[in-house]
Amino acid sequence: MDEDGLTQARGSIASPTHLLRQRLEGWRQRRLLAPTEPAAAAPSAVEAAAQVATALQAAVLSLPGGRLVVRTTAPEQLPLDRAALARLPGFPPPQAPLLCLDVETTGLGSAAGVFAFLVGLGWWEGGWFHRRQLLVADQGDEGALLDHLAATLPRDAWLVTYNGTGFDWPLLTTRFRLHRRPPPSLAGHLDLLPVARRLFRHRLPNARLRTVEALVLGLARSDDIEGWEVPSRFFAFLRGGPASLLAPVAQHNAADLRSLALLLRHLERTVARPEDWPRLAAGDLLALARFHRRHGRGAEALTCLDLALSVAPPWQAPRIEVERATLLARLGELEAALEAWEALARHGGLLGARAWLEVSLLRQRRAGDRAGALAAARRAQAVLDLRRALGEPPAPLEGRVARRLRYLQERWERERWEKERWKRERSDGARLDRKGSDRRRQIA
Amino acid sequence: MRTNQPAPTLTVLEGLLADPHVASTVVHHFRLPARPADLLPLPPWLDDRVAAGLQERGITSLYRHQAEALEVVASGGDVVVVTPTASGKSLCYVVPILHQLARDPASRSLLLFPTKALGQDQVTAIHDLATASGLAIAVAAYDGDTPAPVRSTIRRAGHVVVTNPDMLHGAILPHHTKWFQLFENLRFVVIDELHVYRGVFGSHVANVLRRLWRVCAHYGVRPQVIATSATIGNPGELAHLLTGRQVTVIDRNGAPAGERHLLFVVPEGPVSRPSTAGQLGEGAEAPPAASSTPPVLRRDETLDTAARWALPFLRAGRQTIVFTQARLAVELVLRRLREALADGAAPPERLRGYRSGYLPRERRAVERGLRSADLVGVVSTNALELGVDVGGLHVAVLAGYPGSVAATWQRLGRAGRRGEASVGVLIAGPRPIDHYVVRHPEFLLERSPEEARIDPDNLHILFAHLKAATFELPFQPDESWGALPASELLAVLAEDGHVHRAADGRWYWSSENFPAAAINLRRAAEENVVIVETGTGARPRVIGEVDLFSAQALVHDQAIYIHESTQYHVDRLDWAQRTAYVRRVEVDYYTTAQRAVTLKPLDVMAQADGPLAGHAVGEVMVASRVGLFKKLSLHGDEPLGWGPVHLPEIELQTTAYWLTLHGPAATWPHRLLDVALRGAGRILQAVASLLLMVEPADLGLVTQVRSPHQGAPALYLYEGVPGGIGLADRLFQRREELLARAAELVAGCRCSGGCPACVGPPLDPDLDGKALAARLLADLAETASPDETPARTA
Repeated sequence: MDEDGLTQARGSIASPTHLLRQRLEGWRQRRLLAPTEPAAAAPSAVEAAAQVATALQAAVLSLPGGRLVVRTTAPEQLPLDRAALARLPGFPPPQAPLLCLDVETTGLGSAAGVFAFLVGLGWWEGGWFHRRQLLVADQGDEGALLDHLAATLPRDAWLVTYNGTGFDWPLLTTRFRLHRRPPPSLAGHLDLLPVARRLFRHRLPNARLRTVEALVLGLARSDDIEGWEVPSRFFAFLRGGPASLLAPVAQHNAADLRSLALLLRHLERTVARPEDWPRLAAGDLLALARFHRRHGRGAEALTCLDLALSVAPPWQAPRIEVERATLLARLGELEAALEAWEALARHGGLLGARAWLEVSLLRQRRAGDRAGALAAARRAQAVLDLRRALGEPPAPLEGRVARRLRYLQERWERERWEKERWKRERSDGARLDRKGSDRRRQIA
Repeated sequence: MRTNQPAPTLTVLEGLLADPHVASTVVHHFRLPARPADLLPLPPWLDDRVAAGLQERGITSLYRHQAEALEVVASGGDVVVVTPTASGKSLCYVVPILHQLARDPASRSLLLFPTKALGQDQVTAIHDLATASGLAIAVAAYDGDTPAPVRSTIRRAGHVVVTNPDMLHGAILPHHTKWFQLFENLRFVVIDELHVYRGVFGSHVANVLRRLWRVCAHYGVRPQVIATSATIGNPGELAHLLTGRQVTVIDRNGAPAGERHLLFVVPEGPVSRPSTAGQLGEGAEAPPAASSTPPVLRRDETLDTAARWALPFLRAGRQTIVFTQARLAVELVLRRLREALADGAAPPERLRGYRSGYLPRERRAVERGLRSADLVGVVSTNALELGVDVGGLHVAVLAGYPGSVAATWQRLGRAGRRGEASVGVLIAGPRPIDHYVVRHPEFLLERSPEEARIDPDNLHILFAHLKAATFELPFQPDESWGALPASELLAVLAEDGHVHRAADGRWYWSSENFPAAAINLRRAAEENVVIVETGTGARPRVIGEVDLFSAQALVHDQAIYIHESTQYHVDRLDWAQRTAYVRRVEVDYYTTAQRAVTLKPLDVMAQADGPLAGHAVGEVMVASRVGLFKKLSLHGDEPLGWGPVHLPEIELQTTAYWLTLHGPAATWPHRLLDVALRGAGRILQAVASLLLMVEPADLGLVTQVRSPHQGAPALYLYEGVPGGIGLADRLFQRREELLARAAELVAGCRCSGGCPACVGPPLDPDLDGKALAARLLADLAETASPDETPARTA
């Protein structure tokens, strides 16, 4: 070490270039790679864009940042009553432009290496639904895509997506950050995946867009590719495959955009307006009620449940009544809730026991009616006892009922005891009071 | 001498040395006087708040190395501070960071610690000094334990982000767009414990840093590097290779030190006579016991001596660390010391073991126990060498030479706290190099420590990170990666379809995979075997993990696996599931496995021919298989039996240095040649590990009396990790020194006919293995040719 303690590091000792080259050569030979044959040269970006445009019957748009393949689909008449749609909770206001967005990518997640090569957009002009797909035929043209998006996304627009809050938009945000530019700002984002999950889960095996299309919208896609095929088709094209590989991807994306629009129209036609609700099935009304309740719209939820009750077959009614009674209690309508639970209590069986338990809680909460609460809890216990006597398996409810009963009984006894003590103490209250004030003085 | 009363360290040492039996084993005793502090005032340019914060914490002046580091950083340079443990290194980066934050509250810093635990200790320390300085800054640890909601806050607003290379590699760089606020304002990158980043780990981290600099450049910043390191021979070179920057080395330690005693000990017994016992460690090379010579120096003797030295200090309540060379030895010493302590005042549970294979939770408990002085002692392998903060202890006992000067100082450095005397004891083990070092203390005291080796251009490692780098940012046509234009390397990846060159000439990631997920920075190999205890009645529990290569030797069927001085019998090793099922037992034997290794050269990268031998470095394929194991009694190493092991072969493609004989020695009878090659190989292996600052296990040895590939006798030293990390290349370059030292060592050993301290015990009673090896080495040393010819013209 040097005397002054400050030593410059010795000159570059990194592996000499020729050594690394030599290793590289050995590596290639062992892996039977062609000696120095470079990777097949990518076609020029202009050529690639032209090929894709031909295969997709699309146009090429030349921008300062590169070329975009723009595929426009003939507008489709698809009128949408925005005022009605806006009545659904969490939905965009009537005047905000809507922009359906669906992205095709080279992988999952939003890490820096996932590339969005196709951005599909859909919007309304008058009653007409327009679709435009922006496609990048060469990764070097991504700048043009982002330029175009930043320039054309209206600032007051709401995005409409399917799982866009979890995937499409964070990915586009990543792409903008990667190009060191701020992502465009949005007025709002309506992700239809959670909406569909809430409204249709009861009649779907899963909440994939394809499933919703088939079972809710009644659409059938023919010749469609699976989502997992998308990355490999793009990579195959990049490595010199025909541009026609991308045509099914574009059709898939266009179909997804159309489904978004149709799903919005379906929601507008079936669930947005309260006057349409009487036409809904009981299960759908129950789901709609829950959807409203979750957004804090108790009145709408109650309307849905009342309607559901009016159309429900007898075997569905109790479930809806339970929902309704629970909602009433949550809305603070204790009287009505109590009434609803008392009605349910007449069903007997497990439901009856559950209802008696709720009645017990409500009687105490509403009017401090402890005697009534205790009586109801005993009724719940009686129902369960009967079940057990009949040899039915024990229900999870039994623990709750037993605890409630014990609590009420103890409380009942303690109160009685305290009442008596209070009476006793009142008789020599004067003495106690003096003592109490003495102590207070001491503490002070 | 046997006292259970607390006593000062030096009183205990005097008591020990008063015993003639003990004193006679001490071959050298050095007393290093206490050293005063070398202080400089706080720099005048330092922000007033930071200066006030330092003063509030009692820091009114700086040690020389701290002050010098601050000046380099202030002038915009990159710096590595090389001073021993507990010399106030962290101040060298904390002060610049706070000073910068006082000037520019938007500035950010990234701190890299080799382990999670080390980083978490620092978060509190930095936060305290910031508070004392009146600076409201967010200091946060970002590691695998950080909850998701906190993560987004740290990304957005963390001024000082404390993390480890693994998180930087797997979580931060691939998601750098989510960290844009950090990167846009990044001023400092701190690399603590730089010396830990050597070998495979260091080669990985060098590539992670290449990726980091690319991402920084993308966001338009060039953060300064502040690194700290323990004393190694080439801190500047290592810092340069790791960071790719020209880094200023600051190595004049200004911290004070207490009085220090160093003792060099040779265990009792005439070591100059041959022995029949095996060597420490797995004993893959251990020959079968021959009955012709009486046993003199056993595995036990070094460990026994270590226990004898440690015991009085432990009894006197002096915090003591015993370092052993092998995992098994940890358990043996721990057991012995606990038995001895059981009758004394120090409860045995105040002494713990520490080694790889213990779960992190157990290790953290030991570290805390040592810092808080709840533990009076620990028996450890090199696992505790790696910069883990356990505070200063009183006594360090090294059972065997650790294999390098740097590691020896790091282990000895565990003893020593400010203003108190400390004792370091180095006890010779049975290996050749141990006796050399103990009898020649100038080797340790005067020679500069070894160099840390990394090879960022190991192609296995390089390509893995090049993929991750392409994933993070496309490569520009004119970018370079290490020594080469990136395009040359990317062209290879393109042929495998991982990257694609777009029409604009840039290279893009073009695969659905997430390349960072395929890389583990800590291992060249991917998998571990999990060890599961299936006890009586108790639920199965995981007691440890071991890498695939070691697993074949340690947890094969019927092996005795020792963990926390408890013996476990391996009932079944499920190789396909990478799981070993073990059960607690109490037996009086241990097992040692024997490896069969075959080697095939694939490619020569450089070669040099002399009159007697050819030297070469190149790629080789090593196939290794554990075929049988032996049972040896716990006290005395008596062989009790053996059994077969049925495990598949493990293949390793790596680099090797080899020499082929074509002089007169090549015509020796095979029986003589075999003994000579094996003996010479053993010496070369020991000297090579010494030269390169690696564990002896990092280099494997294969000797061939008539190599099918060379058509001549051959001796290979191969690297233990896939692709190698440049050790073989370095050996090839330093082959003259290697052979000269080996010849010197074997000539200098005072035994006759071979001993564990040189060529190993005699394999064949009729042959003088030592003389044969000595002759071979002497010939080679004389004629090692300096001429080098490139292997192939491309």
